[in-house]
Amino acid sequence: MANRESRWRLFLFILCVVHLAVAGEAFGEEKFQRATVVEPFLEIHTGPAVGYPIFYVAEKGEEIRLLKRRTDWYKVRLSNGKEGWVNRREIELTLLAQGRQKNFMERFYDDHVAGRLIMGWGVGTFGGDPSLYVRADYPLNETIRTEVVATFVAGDQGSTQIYGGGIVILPYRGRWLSLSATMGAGVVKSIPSDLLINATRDTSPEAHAGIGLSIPLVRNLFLDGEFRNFTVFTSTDNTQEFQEYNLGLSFQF
Amino acid sequence: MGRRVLTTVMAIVLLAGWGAAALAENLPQSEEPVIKPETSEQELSEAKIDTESLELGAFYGAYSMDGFGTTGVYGFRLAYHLTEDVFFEGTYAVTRFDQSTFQQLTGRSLVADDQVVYWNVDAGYNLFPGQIFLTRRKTINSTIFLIGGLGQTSVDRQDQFTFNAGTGFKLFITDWLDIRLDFRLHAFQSDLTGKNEMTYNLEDTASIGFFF
Repeated sequence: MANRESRWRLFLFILCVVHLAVAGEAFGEEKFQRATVVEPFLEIHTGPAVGYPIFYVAEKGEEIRLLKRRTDWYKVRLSNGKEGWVNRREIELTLLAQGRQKNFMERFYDDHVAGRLIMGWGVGTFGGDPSLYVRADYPLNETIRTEVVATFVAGDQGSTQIYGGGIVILPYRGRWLSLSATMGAGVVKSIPSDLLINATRDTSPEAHAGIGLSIPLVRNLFLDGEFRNFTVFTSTDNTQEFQEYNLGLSFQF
Repeated sequence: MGRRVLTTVMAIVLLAGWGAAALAENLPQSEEPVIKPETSEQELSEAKIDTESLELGAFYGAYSMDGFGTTGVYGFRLAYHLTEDVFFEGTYAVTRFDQSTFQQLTGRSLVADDQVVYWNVDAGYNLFPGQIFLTRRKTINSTIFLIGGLGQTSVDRQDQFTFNAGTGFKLFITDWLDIRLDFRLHAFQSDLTGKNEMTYNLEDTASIGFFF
């Protein structure tokens, strides 16, 4: 009797678990937020980048669920079960219509960064030693940009770091090539190797001028080559000249 | 007594669930409203949308030390995807310095500690995002990327400033799971061969990564 009762209770328990699990699943579906497409149509890509093909087009009035976000792309599920990725700027009207606010970062990005800010990095030689640079350029107008650069040099006697800024003038911007001239100033920090005795860390001001060229590769990516001449003011009456040759990549946001 | 209460509770849970389901099914379907309101009843919250821009990966491969042998290498990567094109990635890896040939020839060891550790911080660019047809119907997303940066390599407990550059190929099994192949060149100054010179070390690795 007791045995039958416990078996019955076990059966009831399993049924309860299954029941709650199914209910949970249905509830889980609800955790994704819904939105109704406001744009005339939405292009649905297979992945979160423009390079991934468009495999479906959602229409105005269609209900979508927002599954997740990666960089500037939203993964959506359509009412027919299809899932794909939509760019934020394409779905913006829909999101705003549902009461979503553009946050500060997105507003800043859309107004000042997208299509403007350029970031670059590459390798080269500085005074014969291998070097690496990272730079950011911000265009003031069609022909003038401001620039900040950090250069790291690995020498036999220790390493050198150069932090500088300046302006870049683009006298020629063609489809296949653009030319630039740059000048600016900064500081040179020399960090001697631990093996050297009596060597001290030193910071000196520098001024530089250079010329460069840039070749568009794909989409927003460029191949850059540059020559710069550095004058380092090591002491009040002493200067040193260094030549830098660089090759690198840059991209525009 | 306790058992009976438990049984009753379970029965109530089941009955309540079924009852609600039955009621929901029998509810009269509301007709299309004459005027559809422009705004939706549910306000969208960005915070409720799961953001996946970080990628964690583990890799294994071969590291070929310039002038010496090739050994296994393993490590971890953590990437932050800034835009669809650009990502930043930190790597930590461990490999071994193969001095077996040197030991055979000279009968002594070149370095006391043959473990080599490196870390680096890189910037990457997704050069060719696209799709690959595995069969006529089954496609998967892929990308070919360029990557490069700087870091440190520790050989015989001496840290060397290291540049690295290379290319890689990534296949997305799902949206959040990927496998990738990397071909990388690590360049650093070394005096292990007798004179202090730039060494160029090749590395091929395979990794598995997931977005979170």
